[in-house]
Amino acid sequence: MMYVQSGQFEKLYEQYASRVYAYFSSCFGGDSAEDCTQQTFLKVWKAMNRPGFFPPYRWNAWIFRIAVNVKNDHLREKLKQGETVSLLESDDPSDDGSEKRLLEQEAVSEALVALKEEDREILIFKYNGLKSAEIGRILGLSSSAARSRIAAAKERFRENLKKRGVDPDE
Amino acid sequence: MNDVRFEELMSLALMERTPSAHQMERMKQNVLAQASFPPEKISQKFQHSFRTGIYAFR
Repeated sequence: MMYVQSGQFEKLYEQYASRVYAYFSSCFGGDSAEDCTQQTFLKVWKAMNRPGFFPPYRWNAWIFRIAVNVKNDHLREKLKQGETVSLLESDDPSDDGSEKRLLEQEAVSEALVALKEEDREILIFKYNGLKSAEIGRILGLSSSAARSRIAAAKERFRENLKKRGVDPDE
Repeated sequence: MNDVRFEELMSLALMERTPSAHQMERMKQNVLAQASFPPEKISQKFQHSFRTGIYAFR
């Protein structure tokens, strides 16, 4: 028996799938992003079809919490299989000076990629509209600790932007 | 960095990590296919067939 209102899942998918994909892509690169996005939305579907499912107050926080669990499961699975997990790393510095670096988009993208994963993750949550308390719940932090982590991550992003010639305050 | 500039920069940074329309559709179809035909609801016999690629009950 279906408990999901007709079209509700599709609506959520349209609204959040590309954001969730971008989150996974920023964690692992493109290879695992598709699988993890599918896993996330399969869990969303299953949860929504569970008897007694009550819609969350904020869908984005709920979906990103599921995405973080999927990411952790993915990391655990890879480690169990003895595989090296290739979290996204900053580009080879030998690329310095290449023409594409002149483009602001590339520079900004690199500034984000150059951050540690936990900084990147927290900024993506913030960008997707999650509140400090929601980020704290996902990461097991207090609301004020989450706020401090966001501020610190923003500062490091800011420094990375400046290093790449992008004015963060423009 | 104010909030508007932060959003603008994050949007730029993640732009190239956005899936194509084709990818979006493919992922959705995969999710819906798995949701309507979950492996845990397939019988053991059929599951075995499924794994070996023989789509028949034995």
